[in-house]
Amino acid sequence: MKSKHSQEKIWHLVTVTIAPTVEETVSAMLFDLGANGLITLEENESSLRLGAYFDQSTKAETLAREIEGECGRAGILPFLLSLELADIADQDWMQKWKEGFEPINIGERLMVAPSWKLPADAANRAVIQIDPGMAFGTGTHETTRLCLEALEARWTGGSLIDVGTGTGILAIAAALLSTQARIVAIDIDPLAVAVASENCAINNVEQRIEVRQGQPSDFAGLQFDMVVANLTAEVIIALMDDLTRCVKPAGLMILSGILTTLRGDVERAIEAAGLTISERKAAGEWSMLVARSEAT
Amino acid sequence: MSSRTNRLANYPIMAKKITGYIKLQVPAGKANPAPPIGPALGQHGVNIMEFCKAFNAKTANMGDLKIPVVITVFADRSFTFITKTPPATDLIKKAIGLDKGSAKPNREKVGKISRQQIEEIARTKMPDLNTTSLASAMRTIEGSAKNMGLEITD
Repeated sequence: MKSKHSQEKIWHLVTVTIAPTVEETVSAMLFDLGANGLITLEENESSLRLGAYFDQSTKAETLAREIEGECGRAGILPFLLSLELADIADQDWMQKWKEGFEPINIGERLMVAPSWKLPADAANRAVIQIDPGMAFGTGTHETTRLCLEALEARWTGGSLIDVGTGTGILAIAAALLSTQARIVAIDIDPLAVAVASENCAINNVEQRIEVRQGQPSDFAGLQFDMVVANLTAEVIIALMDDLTRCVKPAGLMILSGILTTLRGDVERAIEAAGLTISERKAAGEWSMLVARSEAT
Repeated sequence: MSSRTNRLANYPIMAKKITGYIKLQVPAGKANPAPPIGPALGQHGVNIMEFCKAFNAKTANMGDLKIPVVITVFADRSFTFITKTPPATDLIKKAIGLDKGSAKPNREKVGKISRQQIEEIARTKMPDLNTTSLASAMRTIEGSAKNMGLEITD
């Protein structure tokens, strides 16, 4: 398939099916012939499909012959199982990616929006600006949304610790929902700590959120009115004692990232830690629990 | 505390549901939104520029090597990636300043590589080779060198 518009930029995509044993040799060969980069399209024990992109300065008509010739000379032609050529029209891939994101309304008072789709009028909603990247928590996942809804319903200010903060989205939401608050956001991943700090600054709440690399055990005894932990069932169970030591008497815990199939295990851990479950909510295959610590 | 740290190391930190893997080979320090990165990442909703920046920062000092990279995509379109060691052929070319392997490796030798250079490459490649034995890793690299039409010297 050749482009009819010669002025339109195109890419030649060569797709080869090969035996896995010759992957390295064929990859090197494709780069030597001028490939811009390679993608593994399919992989199993007996074969591998590699896609190689060449820019339009490469002559498509000769590519197939050259690849077969090189494989022949290297003695690996029997391992070249198929070869296909296609032309791909160039696109603004970044723009296309951005088009896939829309602002999301959460609950009654929150909205999550990427930097390129900030609403002119958020209709009295607090806007959390988050661009998806290398930390979890973009607002598009059920576990995050369940936490945000619970925060909106239950958080009235005071002190809060966000355990496993990722992008910082939950801590930022807490800061936007209550200006009278002391908020700590922690993660064991230094990358998440950097991303969360940056997002706090973007959302103008960096003065009100302390972002730190750490674990809840570092904060045992520093009593918080609310503990938010969007982790996984296994991690929540492993951390339950430390999380409990972070929360004040009669304080609240919002626990999310729990596969509904594992919710019973988490509920047992909550009860064993002496807390009372006050809310259960599910979305898709995920569950969120709210628990209250004993008043003393 | 330490036992907890160890125990936690076995778990992902967030509710990360993996929705896909993207396996690419990209020249070190030269990732850009053009294919294959743009369409492959865009299709999964992964932030193309953020990947390019992070990849280039990590591989900036690796010269012209081609870097295999595996990107893990999560349900909320966040991602992480790991880079693997460059192909042995690339490391061999770099070690001896060779432009291209021999078209007829059995008959036309295009250069020489020493056992010491083989050993250095074997050590670099060890994390991605299916062995913990240096001798076995060296044999793999020797095989690649011979297939490129190189003579092994002591």
